[in-house]
Amino acid sequence: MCSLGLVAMAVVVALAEPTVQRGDAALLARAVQLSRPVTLAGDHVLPTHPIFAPLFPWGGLQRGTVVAGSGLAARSLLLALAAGPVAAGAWVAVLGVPSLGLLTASELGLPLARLVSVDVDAAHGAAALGAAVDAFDAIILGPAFLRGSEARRIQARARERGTVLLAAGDPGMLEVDTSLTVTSVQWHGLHDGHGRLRARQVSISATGRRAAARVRRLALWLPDNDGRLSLVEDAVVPLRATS
Amino acid sequence: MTVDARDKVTRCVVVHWPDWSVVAAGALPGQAVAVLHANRVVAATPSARADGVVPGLRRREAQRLCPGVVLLSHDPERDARMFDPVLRALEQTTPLLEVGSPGHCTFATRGPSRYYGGDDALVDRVVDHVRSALGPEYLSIAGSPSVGLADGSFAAGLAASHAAGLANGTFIAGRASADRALLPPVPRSRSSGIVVPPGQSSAFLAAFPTSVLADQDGIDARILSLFPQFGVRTLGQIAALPRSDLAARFGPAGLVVHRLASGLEARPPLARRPPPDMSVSCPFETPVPTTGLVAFAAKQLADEMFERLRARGLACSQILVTAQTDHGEQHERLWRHEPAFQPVTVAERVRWQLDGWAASGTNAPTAGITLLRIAPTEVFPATGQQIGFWGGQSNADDRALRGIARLVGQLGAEAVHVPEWRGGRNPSQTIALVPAASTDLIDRDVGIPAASGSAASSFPGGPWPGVLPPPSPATLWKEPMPIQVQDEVGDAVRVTGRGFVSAPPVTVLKGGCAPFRVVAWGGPWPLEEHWWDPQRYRRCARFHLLLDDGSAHLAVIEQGAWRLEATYD
Repeated sequence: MCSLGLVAMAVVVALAEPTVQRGDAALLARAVQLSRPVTLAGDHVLPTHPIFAPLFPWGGLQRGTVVAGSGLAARSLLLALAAGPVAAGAWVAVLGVPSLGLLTASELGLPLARLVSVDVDAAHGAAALGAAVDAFDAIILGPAFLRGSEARRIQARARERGTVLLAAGDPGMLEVDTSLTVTSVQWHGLHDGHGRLRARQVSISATGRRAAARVRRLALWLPDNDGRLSLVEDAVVPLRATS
Repeated sequence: MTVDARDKVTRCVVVHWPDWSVVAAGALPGQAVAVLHANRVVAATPSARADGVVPGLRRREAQRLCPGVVLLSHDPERDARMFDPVLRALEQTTPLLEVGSPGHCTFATRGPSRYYGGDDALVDRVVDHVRSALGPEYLSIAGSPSVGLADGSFAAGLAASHAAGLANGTFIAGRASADRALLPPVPRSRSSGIVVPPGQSSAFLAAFPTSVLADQDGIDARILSLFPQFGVRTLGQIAALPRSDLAARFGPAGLVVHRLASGLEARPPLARRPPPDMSVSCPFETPVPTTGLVAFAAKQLADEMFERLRARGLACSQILVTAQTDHGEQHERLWRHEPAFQPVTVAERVRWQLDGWAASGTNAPTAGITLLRIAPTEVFPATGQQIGFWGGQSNADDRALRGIARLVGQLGAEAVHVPEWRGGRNPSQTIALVPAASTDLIDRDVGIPAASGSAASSFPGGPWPGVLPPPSPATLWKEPMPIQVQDEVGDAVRVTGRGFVSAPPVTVLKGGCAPFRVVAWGGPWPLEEHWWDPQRYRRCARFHLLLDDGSAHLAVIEQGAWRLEATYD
């Protein structure tokens, strides 16, 4: 939209300029440059719950990247991350994680109508992942089953197709762009012989390559007493970038 | 009324089992069994129907009406597999069968009837062939087929279901008892077949209530609910109305109603046959031995065929699938799907046909497949699809559906699943995985009650007293992990019959690891399920255990043995 306006402006400028009679090459070149389709950085990012924005330099899951989760609450964290795109209309495939609790996914806001679970063994892992990369916007992957060359090929394809790979557990030979580590977990509601697991406070640290190299930290309730995601109010979060 | 070419109907036989899905599941008629799809009953045995379990009921309603009912999940692959012996038996009678859905098939009588010496003899022959194909032990489950022979597939189908109703004493299952007063006279009834004499179809149909039109495609239930209000109660009364008036009042649906009520086909047959370039075939350079690969090729062929049909603005409701082997053997079958085929459904039919052929004993192919041909045999103008302005099928949906079809082709239908809500007291029971290949994936209703779908609620909706409230565990151990839970002095912790714990749990031993200390625990929450059924009876107590390594688990003690059922990670 913006670029269209600029083109119009460039053309108007070009026409209004009395010195431009027949083909001022420099000005036309400028008009061409202005009218080139622009892909905004926001188009490359899958929308996640706004609470996760501080973890990523782009404010969400960048398309075509590999995000690995590790630590005690990693599975819940990856499901909560995938919930945003899927709620917005994307599809998610779960490859090689038969034990994943899908009720949890639903409680974290992930609509199960657009989730597909694929049982796959090491022999067919690469072929299945190759097919899934073409079709889904996000893929939750089980522990590594890719050899080096296959991993590189599939990662290149994911980058081209804009598919986010969420590795639950060991990412194996995949090159991880953002690695999320749950550094501490604190459960609330369960006591010595009474109560139940009710709310969980987690601290997450994110590191990665290039723009994401700086360590980012976040403390949040996953979930809080009302079953929602929320920030831990009194947490001391060092070096947190505010947007 | 003048009879023109558009009103010609084919005389045909319908072989039909009501509720084939329960038959395929191996349920005896005396057992109360129902088959569910997406939490709704799709088929039930006569015994379950007697208690009021009819298609469309929710799982809990079915269990309330008939507490002993055994609930099975719907498996179209199983239905097709079990139906194949019947199709093979019928192929001895006729060269070309048309299969609608498993449990229902049709063929034209013209040749076979003359060969066997009349319609009655043909029906006898069909029943005999099918009975011998099923074998005595399976016959006790399936019962005899109900066979109807009449002019037009609608009349024949109705004759078949009417025959079934007479056989087990109920008029077309599930209909109101008021309909029973309108029972039409039976023209000529055999052991389990009804033969309507030539030209008598409209007279046969005349006495049926208008409600029998409800299952027909293209007829809106709202239209049918209007007829009784007009005082029109039977098909004969509809047929007596002027066709143009029905069309003026109800549009195309009114025409379909009138055509069916007067014993014609729902759609007039096309004046010209579909042009030959619509059929698609795929020769394989090297013979292909496995069905999966052929089905994958079938999907691409189907895509190509639909591309051609679409270019001419046509849709297709009947296809002829032909497969040839390296040794020159050939197998062909007609398939019907209402309202119209989609590429995925075509590939599925090809897989059913080839699986059936491979399992057909003496007639099985002796070499790999070298040629697969799909030809549309009944086409009609596509009315198109209005794409919703908000929602509807999106680009992402299309992409995902193609990807799912590809994964199914690669890994088989049993490897690709989508979740479906079942309800239950354990996290592992609540969500079941159903094969994606046999599920309609667009705008699917997973069935999760609204209360538990929203993160704000504290309890999952639905009547499941004793269920653990959210958050739910993110890891459900497929093979429960045995553990040992000990108290302070090292004795195993037990739960008494009154639901008290013998001593607070202090240490947890997990196979081979160093002992974990219990930091906090909650429970026991006792659970007693299926007390009315000795086989499924289950009594256990659940605990939340928070260990010193920070991990939180759902542990269960059942008959003195502890295990980890799930982990909150």
